[in-house]
Amino acid sequence: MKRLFRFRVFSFFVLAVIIAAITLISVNTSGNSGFVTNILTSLSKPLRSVAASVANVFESIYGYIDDYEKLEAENAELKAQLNKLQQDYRDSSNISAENERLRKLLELSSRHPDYKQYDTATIINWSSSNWSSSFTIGKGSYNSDIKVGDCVITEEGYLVGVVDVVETTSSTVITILDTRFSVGAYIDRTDKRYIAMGDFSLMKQELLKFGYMEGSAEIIADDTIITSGKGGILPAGLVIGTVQEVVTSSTGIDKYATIKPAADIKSLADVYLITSFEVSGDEN
Amino acid sequence: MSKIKIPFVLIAHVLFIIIVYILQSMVFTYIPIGGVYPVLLPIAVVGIATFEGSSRGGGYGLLAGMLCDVSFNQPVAVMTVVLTAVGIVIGVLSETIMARGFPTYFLSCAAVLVLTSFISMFSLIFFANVEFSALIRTGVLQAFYSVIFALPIYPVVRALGRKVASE
Repeated sequence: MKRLFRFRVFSFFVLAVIIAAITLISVNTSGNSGFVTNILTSLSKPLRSVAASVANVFESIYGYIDDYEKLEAENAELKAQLNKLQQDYRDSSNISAENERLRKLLELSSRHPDYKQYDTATIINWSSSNWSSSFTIGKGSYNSDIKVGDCVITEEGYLVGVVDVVETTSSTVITILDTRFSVGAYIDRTDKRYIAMGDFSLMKQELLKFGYMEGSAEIIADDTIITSGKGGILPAGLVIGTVQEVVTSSTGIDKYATIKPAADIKSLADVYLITSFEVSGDEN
Repeated sequence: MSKIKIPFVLIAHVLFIIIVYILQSMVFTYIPIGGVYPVLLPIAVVGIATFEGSSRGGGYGLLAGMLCDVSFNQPVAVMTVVLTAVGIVIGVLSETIMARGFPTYFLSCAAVLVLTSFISMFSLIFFANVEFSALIRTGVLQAFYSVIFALPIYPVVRALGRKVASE
């Protein structure tokens, strides 16, 4: 067995030497890599081609998976970036809108140093009653200094309503259209003072009444009506609205005007409250 | 350890009243119909009382009444009492002399909506200087545009009533 083994080893060695010798002779004579090499190369070519094809397939699959994963990751990253940009845009829009509102409020505050303290609130719900005009704001006695009677305005200083009920975390505001609303006011052009009040018949048309005027009262359409501050209930100088129509009674003794509120009441989302103001001497 | 079983009927009733409340107080306040806000909670109370009787009608009336007061931005009082009474009365009628069907349900809804309108305008008639004709017009419009909703609410209350009866 040992001998056989030795013989086989030896014969392999001899065969190798023969092949090497033939190759060397072939290289020296013809200048190529030799016919043994050629034969082997030729024989192995299809196999190598198949192997190369398989390798290519695997490589392309792997590349596809790799690319897909990269694209997926890139897509996720781009989506995240887009979401962030959209959020930033929304935030910046909100901030600029709030900035604009606060700027207007600051202007109002500088025009009216008698308005001492402000608060802001968001409208959380409108009343579904057909018999009143009111809404709820998200601030009450627990999270603010709001009290009954505080006046509610827009950032431009247009009167919206008055706080009617203060709960712990919310408050109810009756608008200037509500039948319970009534306030002393004057015509900006003539300085004549009368009463602005909510009227049930006008409420659905989003108008209020400027009444108790004598028949000879000088008032025309587009006159601006402003709070007089009389009695110190509401601060003076808040714009209620403009006169839309003047109606004289059949007797001609008295007349009233309908007022279109300066504030677009039904479109409001945020409101401001004057929680403290100075009452000047002539307002009492 | 025994499992706490929450009856399906209870969940369905709670969901139903929440949906009606949301529609009345959060949807139709932004889309008034014919210039008025429809009032849906009384219809729900009438429906439940008609098909489920006085005790459930009363309980449902109490809950719906409180929600109705809240949606009107008024203290929980008037509509709470009114709708509780409505639930009990309609329930008793349905248990005794009233047939449990669409015609009686619809007529009861119309009557209760007129009553609701009248009660809402009551304080304005006596305590505010308001034209009576304007009040009547608003009351009629409110009742009219609300009673339309008795139609889509009917299959729901009837189904709930049948479920209760089967249990």
